[in-house]
Amino acid sequence: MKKKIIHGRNKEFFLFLLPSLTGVLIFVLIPFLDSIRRSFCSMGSGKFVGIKNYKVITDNDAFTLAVKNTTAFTLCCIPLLITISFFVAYAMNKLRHIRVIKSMLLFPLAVPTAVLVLVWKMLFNDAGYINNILVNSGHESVRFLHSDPVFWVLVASYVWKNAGYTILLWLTGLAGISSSVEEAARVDGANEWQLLTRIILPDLKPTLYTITIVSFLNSFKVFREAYLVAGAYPDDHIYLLQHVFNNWFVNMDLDKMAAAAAMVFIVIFIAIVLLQRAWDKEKR
Amino acid sequence: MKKIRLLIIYFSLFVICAIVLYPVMLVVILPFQDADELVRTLSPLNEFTGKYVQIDYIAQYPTLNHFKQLLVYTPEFYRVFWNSLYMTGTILLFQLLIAVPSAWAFAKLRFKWKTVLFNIYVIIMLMPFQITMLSQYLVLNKMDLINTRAAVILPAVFSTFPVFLIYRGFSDIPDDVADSARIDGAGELQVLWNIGIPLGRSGILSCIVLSFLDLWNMVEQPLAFIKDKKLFPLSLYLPMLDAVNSEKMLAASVITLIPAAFIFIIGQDYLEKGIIASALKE
Amino acid sequence: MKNIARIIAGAAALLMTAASAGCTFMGKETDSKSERRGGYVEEPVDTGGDSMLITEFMQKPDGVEYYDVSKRTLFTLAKGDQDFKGEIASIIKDKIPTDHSVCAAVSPVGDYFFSRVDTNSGGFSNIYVSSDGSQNKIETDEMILSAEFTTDNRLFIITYGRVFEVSTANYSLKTVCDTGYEVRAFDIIGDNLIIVDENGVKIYDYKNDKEAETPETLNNFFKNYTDINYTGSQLFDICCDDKENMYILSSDGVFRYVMNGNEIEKILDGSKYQIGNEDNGVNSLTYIDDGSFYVSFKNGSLIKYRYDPELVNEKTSLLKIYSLEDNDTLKQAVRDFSMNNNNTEIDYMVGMRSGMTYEDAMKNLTTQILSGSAPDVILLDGINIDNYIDKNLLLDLSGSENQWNKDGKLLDNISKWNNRDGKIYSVACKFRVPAVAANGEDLDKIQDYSDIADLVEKIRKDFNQDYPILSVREADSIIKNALIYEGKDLITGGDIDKEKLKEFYGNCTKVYENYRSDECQYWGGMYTSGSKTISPDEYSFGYNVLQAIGDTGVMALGTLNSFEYDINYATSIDDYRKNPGVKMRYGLNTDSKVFIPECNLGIIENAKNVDEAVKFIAQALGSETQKTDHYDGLPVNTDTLDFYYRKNEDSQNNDSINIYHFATQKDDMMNVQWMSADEVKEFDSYIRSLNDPLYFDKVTRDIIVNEGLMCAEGSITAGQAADDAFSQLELKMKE
Repeated sequence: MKKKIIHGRNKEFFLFLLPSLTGVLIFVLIPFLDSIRRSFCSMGSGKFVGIKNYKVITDNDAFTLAVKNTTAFTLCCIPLLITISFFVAYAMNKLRHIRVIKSMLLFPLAVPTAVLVLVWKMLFNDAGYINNILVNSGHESVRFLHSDPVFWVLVASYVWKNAGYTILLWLTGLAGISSSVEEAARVDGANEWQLLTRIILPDLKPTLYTITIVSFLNSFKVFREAYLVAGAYPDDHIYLLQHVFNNWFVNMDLDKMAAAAAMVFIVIFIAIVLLQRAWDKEKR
Repeated sequence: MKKIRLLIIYFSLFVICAIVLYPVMLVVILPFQDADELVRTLSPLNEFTGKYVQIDYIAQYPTLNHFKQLLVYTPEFYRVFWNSLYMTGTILLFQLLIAVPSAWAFAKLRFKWKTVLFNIYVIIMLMPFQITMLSQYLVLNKMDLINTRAAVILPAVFSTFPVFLIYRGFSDIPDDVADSARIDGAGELQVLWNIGIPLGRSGILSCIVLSFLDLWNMVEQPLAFIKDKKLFPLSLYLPMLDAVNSEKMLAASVITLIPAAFIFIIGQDYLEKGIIASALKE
Repeated sequence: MKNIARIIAGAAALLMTAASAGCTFMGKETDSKSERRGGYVEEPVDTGGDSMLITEFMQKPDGVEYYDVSKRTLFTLAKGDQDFKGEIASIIKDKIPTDHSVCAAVSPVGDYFFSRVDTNSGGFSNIYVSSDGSQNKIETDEMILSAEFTTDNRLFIITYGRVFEVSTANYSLKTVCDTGYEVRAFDIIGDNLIIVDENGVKIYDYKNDKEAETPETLNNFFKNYTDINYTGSQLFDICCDDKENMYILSSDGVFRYVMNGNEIEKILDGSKYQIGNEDNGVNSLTYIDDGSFYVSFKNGSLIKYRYDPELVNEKTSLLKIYSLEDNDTLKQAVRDFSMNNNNTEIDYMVGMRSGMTYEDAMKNLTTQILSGSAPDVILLDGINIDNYIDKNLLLDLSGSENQWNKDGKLLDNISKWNNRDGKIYSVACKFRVPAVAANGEDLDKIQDYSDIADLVEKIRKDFNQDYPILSVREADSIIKNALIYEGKDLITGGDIDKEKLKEFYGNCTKVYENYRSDECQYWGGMYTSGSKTISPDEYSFGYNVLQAIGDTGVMALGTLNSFEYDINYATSIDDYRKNPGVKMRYGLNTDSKVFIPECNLGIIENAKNVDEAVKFIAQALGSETQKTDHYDGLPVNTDTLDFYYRKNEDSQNNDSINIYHFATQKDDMMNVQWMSADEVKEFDSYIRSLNDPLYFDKVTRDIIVNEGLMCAEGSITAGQAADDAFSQLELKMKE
């Protein structure tokens, strides 16, 4: 009897998955395989050149700079976002009547990039509003967008944009924690800190997993703002992977693009697998 | 003691909200200012005037002129708005049709290669567009779809992002609820329809909201695949305005915000109900 | 239940595959390349010498008429006749001056209407001459742009945005239509006025004094032209035939629209005929009953496009040509090539048209090359040629040189500048030569650009005149101009010199701050030559030299781009009596051998049609195409150069030009002569000694110029600008 049900499940999974799989195959996987093929060939002649392209890009200064920057950015902004939004969500969870605030939190995500860039320019330009305040209070003006601080401007932009829904995701997770367990622990005499670390955080692991993935996804989207603010060749500190891809595309360095794409895929693959293992371990 | 704590929390929340909303507020109040006032704000950005950007928080001469210019004298705006609406709506609809069954399959059904396949889905979701752009272009070109709205719609419909989000919603549903339905003889589709969707509502709704925001503001895909200005969505029309007419762009962006606000205010309600419902079930 | 689920899922999958399969078949053009007979043959009409202006063609029941303003002659082509017959309009002989006429119209009963603009004072006057000889003035608030009579002798005139009817009884004006927008075309067809403005087209039934309905197709057609830059003259001319078909003429060609139909068909492709030559814009169109057209051009010429039903139009091959931006020489070559090669279909694509950015255009080109529809010939101006060569994207042309350089009549040092160990990947079709002009002693002291900057500063201090020292229209032309002189020093051997960059920006700022004072009322004005409007930019040496000899404290920078508008002016200044001591020199200093190659053509490596591509390059380098002067570079063909060198043999070729003096606000004339034999020798030996090509790709140039402009305006210091530009260029090089 049980076998029959499982068998039925297997057939049905296939049909449930089929439309999605077909589309993904046609529009993503197969083109990507073609891209991998191209990473082993030379651009102009199409001849097979083995791993020459991979060697070229690892030697390429621009590529290594971009990788360094992108990694630095990711490692910097994702933990920052997660912790800040968690504490805010934790605090908010104690309150009632927060519906209005919750709706407002999603607004940053709704602002179109073109306008956001205008606002950042208004604030951070050499002649911008913040410099206006600085100079009027006796300090020197800072070239926010054309020197080192631009990295932090971008981080701030990222955190600002994504904090809203991250808080919401945390709140959803927190709301899912059974209040009865919480009550029981309080009765047992647990203080705030113990409550947090022993009961709440472990329950939030799935939420953390989702949030990490989605934040990672959105960290790539920051390229749009960087590009509109600083162009194709920005300050060294915000020269990201996507800049390299964009410029290689314009210059017809498609073989390098393909090799880099394959490398990025492998790195993300490893990261995801590790993350998955860590999460599964906790589950068990 | 507790009251003070509460007050502190409220206050710091207020400060945080203020910071978060400051740029949004700028975007909303600026289009209502007269063009002459805006000159002080915007002109230092375009040319060297020796002055700094001034922002007037309270408009001295509030005006609806920019909105009028946009809504009455710019017929392209409606076409562009409709393009956005059409593309976003179509994509969202088909995304749900395709992603919901797939997410259910990943969450509740057991089959070989499930983990690997799911990981591949996640990785695909994470790949920046620039990586797959060229290959996608060539495929779409072979299908003769370049420069049509379908070139943007089709790949987006199969995006794995909704699958991931809805999967989260479904995996929270305890297995026994579904199993009991199956033992009662329900087909998988019925299980999905009667149990999965109602219980997984939070996941589906968060998917709708986030996906909508993503699609409403998408820039790279239409830029790469559509050449004809008549088919541009709103998100591409805005930067075109910026070069010429920043005031119009500010007005247009306020209008862009409205559907988004609409969606997530409504979605918020259903989201809450869904959470309460799932909590009650326990 | 399971079955239903399966069916639904299966249907979904089927739908997906059907959609993708259907899309493959959708959107495929029906290939109408099958043999088509019938086409137009271009036949110029001898109008007996250059005419000033051929106005509207007037269609009458018994034929077609046009009025030639300069000859004051009414030409008539009666039905069935082959040629126009002219008849001098005696009633206006000597009564109306021929100069400065903006428009003229002839009525069916022999009335005339003239509108005259005084280019010096800006005043205008309008005169109505009746067939009995009496003249009446017509008062208008604004200059009249166009005028036409109807078949029943009603006169309609248009100003910037309004259409008036002029009453022939009392010569008063009645407003017919106030569009509020620039009128781009105006014509009378049957009982209707057709008015084209930015929003599309309006049709006004003048017989019944009301607006008629505008067909949607027609409206959209005209609206699409709003993207194109408006140059200040009417973009279209419209006429109709006796079967209610409307014909529309623009520089893109002749279009046919069947009234109230759904399609507008292009029946004559402008790019393949003189119609597409924007240097000599089209004026007016008329249809004659055998299916042919007459088109009049702004330079006074008249061409008949005869319809030959037996003309075999079969296109046996396709030649794809790509250029990043518009290039007049290339367009000329396209026209000439298609006229000489009837069986080749030419697909000419401009990458950066209608607002596309450089990046988008390059990405587009990349995907085109990858998906197998690469162009055959590519215009490399603005593209990083070295990059393409490194990627083996360009064909080595040295092997086919006997085809594109058959008689060896090219300036090898210039056209083959991109020579790498004997391999030639691109050829230049035109070139520019930098030049400088200033007061004799100052000129001798100029060794490099910083001397020029110091000189400009000194002039400002000494004279502080209220007219500009350098005449350019856009501020960034100052930076681009500086790049011509100092470009070679900035990037040597692929390395950017940050110190030199900083010095460069310092010099640019100096020039920018001093070349005109804040009280200066004058901007580099636009000037017309033929029908083309030229805006003085970083290359306009000729224009600047004219300003330099008009007043003290003016110098000239730029390049020599044409004989008529640069070299002739530059070599004639010595004979001008009022010359305040200005002398001219080829090159920045006496050692400089710099030239700027233009219109660089190459062939893509895996091009499908290499043979015709080579033929095309031969055409572009041949004397026929090189002879037409587009003011965008000097020819590289030595036969063409000889042709120009020998123009001094015919004194009729001499001309004169108006010199305006800012100080006295008066003007006078300077004689312009072609180079004398000695001057020819000097010039020719100079250009044959040039060996230092200056070429920037668009991205590099834009980075340098943008930072320079910000520095010159004062937003950032020269040091900051140099740092920014340096780091951007460095990043670019690293990639």
